Amino acid sequence: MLKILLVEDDEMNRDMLSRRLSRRGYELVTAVNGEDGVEMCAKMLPDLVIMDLGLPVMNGWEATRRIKAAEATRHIPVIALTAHAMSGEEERARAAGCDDFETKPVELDRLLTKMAVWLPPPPALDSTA
Amino acid sequence: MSERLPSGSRLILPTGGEALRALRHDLRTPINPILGYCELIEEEAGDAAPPALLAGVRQLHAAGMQMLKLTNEVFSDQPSALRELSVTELQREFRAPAGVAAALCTELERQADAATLPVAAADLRRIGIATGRWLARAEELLDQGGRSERK
Repeated sequence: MLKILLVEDDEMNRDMLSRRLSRRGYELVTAVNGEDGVEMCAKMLPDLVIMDLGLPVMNGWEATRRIKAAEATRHIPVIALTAHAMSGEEERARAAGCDDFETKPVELDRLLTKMAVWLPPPPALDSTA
Repeated sequence: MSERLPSGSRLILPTGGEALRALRHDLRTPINPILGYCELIEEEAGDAAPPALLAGVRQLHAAGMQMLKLTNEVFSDQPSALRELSVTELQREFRAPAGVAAALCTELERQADAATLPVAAADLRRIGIATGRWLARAEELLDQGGRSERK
């Protein structure tokens, strides 16, 4: 099962998105701030990271820089997910090392399409979940 | 209680990109769970949900989309017809979809409980909370933006 690390400080957003992705067959691990996200990434070695950018303790830009600076985690794709939706945001995220960029509110199909670019073929949808 | 705004006050937004960016972020953040939980209720409850509940959830989603449209158009550096409205008129525009969403949450939570769908009921409560957060923050920002003209 493909493992996704979701780094998101907002409890509702974390719950909602992790449930939606779990229903599609992904294994979700979560972190609530950038510092925890970097630590969890090194420990769990997920297949992909979904990184909120406006995070407490350590923001998502810095957390991504650290993930991409570490030998053990630099290969892990990071998709930035943010409610910042003005011009220049994507460039700023990519400059920090994010491999892709998605805005909130999440359009799930679009996010899944972006995830698929960085992941092996997705597991089959469990229609009974 | 804060002093009432004059009826014709116009919204003045911060001119710095970073400040406007932060306002927009504050308002877009609670809309994500509103829309996401609506979609999740449809996914999870599916055939087990009464048609009236699903129809109501779709109305709730539409109210969330209206909240997103208002946020994007009003808290923007781009011209918009909405920005021609007074702060008082804008407050009414913002309260309308939030009022619809709050009323729907209450009614749909009752329907979900009656249909023995506790997860959907809990998600509807969360949508109600997120709606309240969105409106409270929007009213605060509109009030501040209306007062900034008077300084």
